[in-house]
Amino acid sequence: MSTKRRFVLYVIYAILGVALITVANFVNMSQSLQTYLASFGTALLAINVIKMLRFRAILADQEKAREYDTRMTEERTVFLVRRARSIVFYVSLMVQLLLAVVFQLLDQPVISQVFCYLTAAQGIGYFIVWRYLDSKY
Amino acid sequence: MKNRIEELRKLRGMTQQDLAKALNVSRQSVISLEKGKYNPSILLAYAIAKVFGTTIEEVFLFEEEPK
Repeated sequence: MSTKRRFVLYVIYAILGVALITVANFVNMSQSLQTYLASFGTALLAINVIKMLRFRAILADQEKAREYDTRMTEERTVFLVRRARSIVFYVSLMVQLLLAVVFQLLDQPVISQVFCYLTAAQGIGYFIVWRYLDSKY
Repeated sequence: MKNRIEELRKLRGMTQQDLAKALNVSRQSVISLEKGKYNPSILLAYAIAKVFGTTIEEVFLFEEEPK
């Protein structure tokens, strides 16, 4: 994704944050939903404003913008992103299974089942995607 | 995989930044490639060989892993 397109994406996310805050404050809803939407909107807005400010500095300098663009799109970055996702996915599965066992031991079978189903769903999802990619490439 | 990127780069009087620019990658990538921490794709390997005016085999030293 080019630097400018990324910047536009941050602007859209920030607008979405503002929209969520507005909805939370002006639409009639339960207190818990209002708090949830307002905090989610605030977080979205804050993160993307910070990213936009960082980007403004980068975009002001042509050389910096080119370097940033290269850094974000080069094959090593793509490799690292994929590897990081893969590791996080694997660790998440292990943690979920561990939590399933822990909650079973704590006599909380429902929560334990939720973790088991979640892990199973992720495993099935992985298998389906793998089969699809295997047939595609 | 071992490679001769650093040696060939120095022979041609290029800095890591020069090579990074020629390959359209970051300097961090060049550092990783030189240290052999990252194995490039065939396209990048070809681009590296092209920058040095040589072949892929001259840049990358393929060693068969012991069975």
